[in-house]
Amino acid sequence: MLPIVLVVFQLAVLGWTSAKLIRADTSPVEKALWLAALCGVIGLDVWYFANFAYPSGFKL
Amino acid sequence: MYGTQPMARDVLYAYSYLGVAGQVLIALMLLLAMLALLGIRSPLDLLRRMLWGYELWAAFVVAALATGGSLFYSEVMGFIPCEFCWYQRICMYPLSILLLIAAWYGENRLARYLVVLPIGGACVSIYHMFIAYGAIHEPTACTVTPGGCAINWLAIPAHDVTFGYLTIPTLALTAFLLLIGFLVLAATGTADDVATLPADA
Repeated sequence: MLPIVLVVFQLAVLGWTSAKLIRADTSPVEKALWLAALCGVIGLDVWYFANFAYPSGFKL
Repeated sequence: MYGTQPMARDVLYAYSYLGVAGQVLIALMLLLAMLALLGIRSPLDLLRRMLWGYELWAAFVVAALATGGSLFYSEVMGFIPCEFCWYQRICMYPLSILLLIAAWYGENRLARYLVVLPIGGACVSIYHMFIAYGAIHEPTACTVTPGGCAINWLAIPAHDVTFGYLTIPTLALTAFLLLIGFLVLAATGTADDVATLPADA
């Protein structure tokens, strides 16, 4: 369960940060770049789950 | 594979030296923070003035070096990352991307939220260090990876770059503490200290 807990922690921190950035008066380019980077991080998390944390699928 | 080419060995040494330099910097920052707590604020103010506008860039450099180092150890040297190495990567890798954007746009206000990530990573590093130094028994999760979590890859006889005490979690903890320091400096600027200088300033 620890990989899921840590990834949830990571996404909670990044989601919180992203919410603050998006609600602030920032340029659309900056918001788009930030969201693209966030998608990249989520992609890395999925890759980590599929190849290392739960290569044979997740079971409760 | 454990790359034995001279260049790989040089990079291993470079990372160990960077780790020691980072630890010296952390000790200095802690000393300045303690002096400030005792009422002697001028040394800390001097550090703030020296770093002013570049706190997030400094944090980005630390995160990028740590990410590059972790990829060098696993992809070039062939050191197999254990469970706890992956947990530390979860906390470090996003910072190397997001801090570049935050620094580029001078978003100092994001530092107070992003600092939570290196704090979590530092906790994992400390636990991993206890395992590596034998103070805690390896949890069963460590048996999945060859070598387990307690092996010190930096102490392989062909290229011992530990200087007698360094381990990979020690280097990770160094990077996390430096990140905490730089992000706290970025987050605690006064209203007059506008922000990290944007790239086009």
